[in-house]
Amino acid sequence: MAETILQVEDLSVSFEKNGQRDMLVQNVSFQIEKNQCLGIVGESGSGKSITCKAILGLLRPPFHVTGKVSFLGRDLLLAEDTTLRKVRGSEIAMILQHPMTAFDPLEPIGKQMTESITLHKGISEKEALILSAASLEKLNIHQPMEVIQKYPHQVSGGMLQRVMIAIALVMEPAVIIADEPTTAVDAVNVATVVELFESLKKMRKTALVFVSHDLNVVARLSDQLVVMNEGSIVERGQVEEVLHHPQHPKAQQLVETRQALVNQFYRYVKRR
Amino acid sequence: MIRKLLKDKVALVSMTIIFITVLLGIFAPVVAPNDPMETRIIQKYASPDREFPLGTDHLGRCQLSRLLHGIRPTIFLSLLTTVCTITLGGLVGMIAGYSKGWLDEIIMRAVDVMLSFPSQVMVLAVVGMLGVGMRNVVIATIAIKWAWYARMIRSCVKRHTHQNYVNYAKAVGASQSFIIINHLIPAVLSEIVMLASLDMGWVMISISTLSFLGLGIQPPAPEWGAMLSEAKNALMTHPTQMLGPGIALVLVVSSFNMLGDSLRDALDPKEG
Amino acid sequence: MKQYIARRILLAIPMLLVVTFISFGLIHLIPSDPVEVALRVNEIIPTDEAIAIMREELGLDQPFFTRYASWLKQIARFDFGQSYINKNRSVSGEILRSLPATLKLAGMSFMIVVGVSIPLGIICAVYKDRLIDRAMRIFIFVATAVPNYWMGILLIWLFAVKLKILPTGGNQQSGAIILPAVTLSLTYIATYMRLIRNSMLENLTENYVYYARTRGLKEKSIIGRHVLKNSLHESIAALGMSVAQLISGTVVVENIFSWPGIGRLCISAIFNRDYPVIQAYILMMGVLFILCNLLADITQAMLDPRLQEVK
Repeated sequence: MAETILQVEDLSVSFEKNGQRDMLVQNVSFQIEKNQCLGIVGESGSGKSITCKAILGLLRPPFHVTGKVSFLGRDLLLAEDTTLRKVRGSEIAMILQHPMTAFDPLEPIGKQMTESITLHKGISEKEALILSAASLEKLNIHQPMEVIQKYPHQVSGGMLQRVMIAIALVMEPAVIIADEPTTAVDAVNVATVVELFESLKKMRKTALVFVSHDLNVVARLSDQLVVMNEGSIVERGQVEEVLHHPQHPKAQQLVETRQALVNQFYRYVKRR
Repeated sequence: MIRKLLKDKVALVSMTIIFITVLLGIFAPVVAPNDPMETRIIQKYASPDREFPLGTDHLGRCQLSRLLHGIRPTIFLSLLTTVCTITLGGLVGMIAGYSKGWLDEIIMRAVDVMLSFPSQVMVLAVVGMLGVGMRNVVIATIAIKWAWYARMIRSCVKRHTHQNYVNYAKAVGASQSFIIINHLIPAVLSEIVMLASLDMGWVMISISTLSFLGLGIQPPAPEWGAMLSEAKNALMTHPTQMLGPGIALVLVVSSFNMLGDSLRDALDPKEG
Repeated sequence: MKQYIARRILLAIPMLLVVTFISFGLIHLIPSDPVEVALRVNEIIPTDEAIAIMREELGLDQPFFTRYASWLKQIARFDFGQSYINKNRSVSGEILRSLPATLKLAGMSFMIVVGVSIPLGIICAVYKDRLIDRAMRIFIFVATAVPNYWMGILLIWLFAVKLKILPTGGNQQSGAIILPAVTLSLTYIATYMRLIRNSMLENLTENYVYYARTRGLKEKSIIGRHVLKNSLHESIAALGMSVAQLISGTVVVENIFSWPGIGRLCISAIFNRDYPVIQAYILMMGVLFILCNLLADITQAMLDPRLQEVK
């Protein structure tokens, strides 16, 4: 039995407005073990991103979170703000969709990279810069110092995505949560991003939570798969199992759509 | 939209205040206890009593009567100004928005020029050239403000002409005038009402300011700004003189502002 | 960057021309003949001969565009002609004499506006919907509904008549600037406080704030370093415009507090039908408006890395 790093039990999130309560996430439970990748799939609005935010304690009223999130023996939902802040970024890192808007447009990339590194590691700006550059280099960026000096608008979205991954890697976190990292990337670059994550999996013995609405991408990266629909988990299991014998209608639908797309793709290729 | 507005308590209260004030203004000769122009030098600065509920001013004129009669120039002239401004600005804006092409271009450049001056300075300039007097203040305000409405209404028309129901009307062969009267005007009208009530406060303050400076209505006619100007001269000896017109002005202006805010909320599909 | 600034300056030139044209053209709105006005105020009997001489003297016998061109040449040398009221006083002299007082008042008000509205705007955004934010929302509401001349009288009554700690007006005594500057700044404080509050709240919902939070950055540094910088940057243009609005807004305040600035000069010129002074006032305001706008745009561009490289 592998070591469990992150365990989510009965996580529910509700949103209160004008005295009405909307359930956004209902009784979600899953766990991630070391060196494993958990894929979470579902349509947009099925509660995937909310779940990620809830794990890191980033939801504030009017959101209401119940359940238990235990990370290396601690319950993050009960943790103080200061403790949570130390976990965020350094022990659980996140990689977001929309890399183009994830950075402060008025500051150079390097400054933003070192900002969290100096804070968590207690090292100097200079050392943090060296670490950042090294981390960028590992991700096949050949002139890291150049990227570091640039402003976010001067580089491509793909580059910013790598910067995000690089920041996550420097901190050597136990868990990396990637929230739809391929959504904002155009079709050609999806393959690159997926490759990036594959190498990430090999490089680090971190647990990876990979969230996407794209079953193709998730299937390639994950070991375990969870299918969410309307805030609850409707299907879970080994990737192969879910792909070949989906039980829940939503899961079947997702798999069928994927199959249809794959078929269409092959037909398209053949015609050429 | 009207139903939504009736549910809004703030809107109801401000509409009631405005309605009552307007009624009082219309029936001022009936309601007012005394002749607002009649001077009684012996009774100057009289304290409030049964004959003069709010006391008298430096010429012994009944303050309450002056206040009630002052509604006419203060509110009615502001209303007149606003209506004229909207009619002119609305017509120009509609023509520009609906015609497109060179006519639109010429009108919008003229509007840009008008808006490149600070409005306060322009009103002063026009009054300065035409001469002191209420009529010229109204003309000056209209001459400056129409450009502002023209721009707003043009963009409003542009927005609506691209909507499907207008395209549909065109497709089934409705005539231009039919489209404008039956579709565009109702759609644009509700936005105009909102803009107008938001702007009424500004116009009232602007007109009363000019009267306060002695550029608008001429004594002995009662007007709130002019009354405040007289009250200012008695500041050392009889400071209560400034309370009546000041409070009345603030009450009515804030009612219009609140009504405008409520209208905006009621028009905004995002809210509730 | 240089290209952007150059283009922006070039764009301002036609605007300046339009402003001069309007200032010049406005004089033709005068319902009576300016020559007769000039004669009357100088107590010369308007005989045909006197009218002809004065017409020539004022250059009114030439066609419109000739006069406009020569007038442009004049104002380029800061020569606005002679005052109608006081023939031996030049308009530029009158303006130069009263401008410093107005600039002092506007500058003081601007400092109050910036010094009060930015911190309060930040506090309101950080403590959104708490007591202080609600109190400030009421303040904003009241400040937009109260005409500033009434506010001015109320302040005079409270601080000068009742408490006797500040002078009622003039600019001789120490502390005389406080009341007019506060009166002038109140409306603008409300406007810019709301602007900064809303801009900060908008920035707080941005993706970069969320990402900064997921990296465990302190809320204090997210707000102080990133959000504040971005929203101030967005507000610079509006703040720059406020300088021009403050200067044009001094008209009322100067008249209440007997502050000897160009606002008072303009009002007395309107009463005296001293058209060259009014014309010069309009021109000055228009030019100031354009210049402030230009400066604000350039500052904003200089601070924005997205505009710094030449594209």
